[in-house]
Amino acid sequence: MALLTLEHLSFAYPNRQTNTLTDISFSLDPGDFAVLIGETGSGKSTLLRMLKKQLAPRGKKSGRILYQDQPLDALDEKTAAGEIGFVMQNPEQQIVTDKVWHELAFGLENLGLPQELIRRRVAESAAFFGLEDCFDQRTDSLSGGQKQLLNLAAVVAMRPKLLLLDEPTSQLDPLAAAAFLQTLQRLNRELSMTILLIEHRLEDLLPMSSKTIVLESGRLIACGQTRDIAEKLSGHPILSLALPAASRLYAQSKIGAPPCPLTIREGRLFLESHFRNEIKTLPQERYANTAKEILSFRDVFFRYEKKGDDILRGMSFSLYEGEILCLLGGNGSGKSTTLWNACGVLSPYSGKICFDGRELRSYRNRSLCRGGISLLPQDVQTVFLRSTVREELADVSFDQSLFPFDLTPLSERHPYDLSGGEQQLVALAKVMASSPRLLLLDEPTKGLDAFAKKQLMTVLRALKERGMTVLIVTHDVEFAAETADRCAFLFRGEILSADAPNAFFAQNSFYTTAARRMSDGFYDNAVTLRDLLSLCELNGGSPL
Amino acid sequence: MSSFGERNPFVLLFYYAAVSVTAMAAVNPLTGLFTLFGALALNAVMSKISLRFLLPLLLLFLIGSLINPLFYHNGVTILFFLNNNPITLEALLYGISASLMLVAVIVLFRAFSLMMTADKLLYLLSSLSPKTALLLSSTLRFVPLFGRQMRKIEMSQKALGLFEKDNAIDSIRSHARVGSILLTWALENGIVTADSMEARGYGIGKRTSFSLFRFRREDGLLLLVMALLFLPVLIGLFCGAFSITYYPQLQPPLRSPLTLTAYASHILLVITPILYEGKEKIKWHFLRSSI
Repeated sequence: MALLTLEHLSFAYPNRQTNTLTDISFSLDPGDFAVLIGETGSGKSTLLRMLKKQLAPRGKKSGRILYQDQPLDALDEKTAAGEIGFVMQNPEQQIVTDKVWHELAFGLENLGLPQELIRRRVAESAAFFGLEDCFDQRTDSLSGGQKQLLNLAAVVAMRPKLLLLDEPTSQLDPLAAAAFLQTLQRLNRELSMTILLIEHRLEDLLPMSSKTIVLESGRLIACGQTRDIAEKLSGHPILSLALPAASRLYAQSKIGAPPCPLTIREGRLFLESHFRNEIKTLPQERYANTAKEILSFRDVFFRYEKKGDDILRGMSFSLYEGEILCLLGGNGSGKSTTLWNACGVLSPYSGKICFDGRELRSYRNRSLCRGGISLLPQDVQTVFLRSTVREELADVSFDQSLFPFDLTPLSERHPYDLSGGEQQLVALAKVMASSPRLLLLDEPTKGLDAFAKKQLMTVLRALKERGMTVLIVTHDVEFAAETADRCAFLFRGEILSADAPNAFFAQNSFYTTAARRMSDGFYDNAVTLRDLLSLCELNGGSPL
Repeated sequence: MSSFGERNPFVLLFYYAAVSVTAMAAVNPLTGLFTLFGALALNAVMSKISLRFLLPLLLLFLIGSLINPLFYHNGVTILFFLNNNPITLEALLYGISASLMLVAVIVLFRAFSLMMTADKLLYLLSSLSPKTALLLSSTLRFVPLFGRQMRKIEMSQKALGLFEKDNAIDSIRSHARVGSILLTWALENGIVTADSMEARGYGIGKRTSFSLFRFRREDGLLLLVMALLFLPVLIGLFCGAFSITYYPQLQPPLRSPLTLTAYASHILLVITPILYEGKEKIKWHFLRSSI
């Protein structure tokens, strides 16, 4: 008996003419680990929400959804709440209570279970997810990854049979995302929990999954075993960008030898068995920058509280005019703090920051904000004030001709209704209206899918052509490898090394791109997929 | 960490309610003094008593004691004349008693706030109504969250150059802008929270409450002891064992076995936590010395 069956499901929102979902049919067996993929706007979130009775949107619906061969609508409230669990994207907003123990018990309290039963389930959940240490802590003292894990634990405490997740790792840094996905894998493997999730970051996820479902414009275009789907999607112009690097290598090298590799290891085996490595190094011109220094940090020390620890310890680096520099580093390394210091909102207690030759402190009356430095913060929603995009941009006298992305189709929409990528671009437009010479971006790729990242990359490159200098702080190694002129590694408040991406990532074994990890030892300096394919071609490109 | 503080919150509630009710009902220097002593000792167990804490209280006591004779001129024993108004001993004594009581209650409430953490208050509330407990919990979460988001918005706006504090009008406008952004953010993200609550079955039926605290035998015994001590005090309050007449002449309450019992049990009631702490410490000492 299948756990979940969809039969010819179609759905349209009340005020729209076109269907959001058309004729969707698939089924999930108990123990399946299924991934739902598709472009932004393909109807994935709508589909997932329809599977949860309490969150189902209202509109014109046709077709059937069966849970354990019973119509979903006929389920009683308690079963619908308890047996089908739903985890959303934003870790902070899903938490309701102020203490970890209370959050874990929340769902069980709702179901009206007796005290002793709640006590046992909460204890079990805390033990399985490793939350015993923070059991008594306040929920706001947890890190982003821990919060999302808490959300998952709170849902799992209700003993669901089906777990639905809507982009659970999009707001997390790579380390926390990996830990979260591994916990999901444990749930699936050890407890045989059926999981259906929507994700954009497929590098780690796709190899774990047993089934992949692909949506395009509200229609189901593929459903089946993950490996077959990966192979099928290789030719797709947009969706193939989301596939793991190994699969993309398989697709673009055009060697039709199934099975399609999914993991780094399989990619490596594929590489070594199909290509030679006589030519190991790709000829790279050295990155020479003759432009003048636009921003410099000299021995900057900063801390938030007098009795606290130093966040920036003797940070020193130079940013040259017209280049894109990416600062990479883990949590707590001081990346955001660096940007807030660079734009003058926070001030270091020791050291000098110079913009355009003058010390930052000497700029008075917010002269920095006009034609100087602009910062796009991590939480993009802190920038939006009005009800339509048009009003937002009118507020800052936005000139479309100066911005390399057309925002007119979005004019009448509410900023909060836009997708993650669109919000980023509108906020970027707003921030740029003061014609800055230096642009600071704090984690611009957070929550973006592969296509939106590509759009952002194009916009940044276009801005660079017009003479803009960009300083980006990010976790996203792949994005940095493709976009940056130089990359720098931030660790414990100081810059350890700064170099062109090719040289930078070629030196690292762990903190580096997927393409590099696949070819480490085989080729010397293949950092992006493009590099890898060029090397393959240089080496003949024919199977051994 | 206080061992008395680890007892069931109902026990703690009883103690604080009983002692504060007695202190406020009887304007009596003896009860005031003992209440103050007990409350200070409780404070000392929870955290160090600093001069910063004591000094304002001393000031309050002095001002309170002296204000009463300045305004009330009843009483037989006149000390001296001020502006044609007699300053009497009785008024002074009443002032001292009342101030003592006030300071004692303030110190007691401080001990209460240190001992009763949010978790314990929640436990007390949830036995009343699980819904109220959840409301308290959500409030404790969202108020600091909004505060933090407000600071983030302020910093963002500063970076955009839109947060001006040059003059009053700009300052008001900037704060209003930040407030508006915060409101939109709160409402939009509140929908996500509401979804999260509904997805986990909020509002389906009657809620139960999960609590970290159990009611143990020790709690029962302690509660019984305190209730037994409070009974004579209650009777004494109704029979006037604690009431002192100040005007026109000082008249202490009659000495009788009832009065003596009432005072004695009041003293014992007030120092019950200290005795309990002492007992626990001695027990711990013995246990350690036998390891």
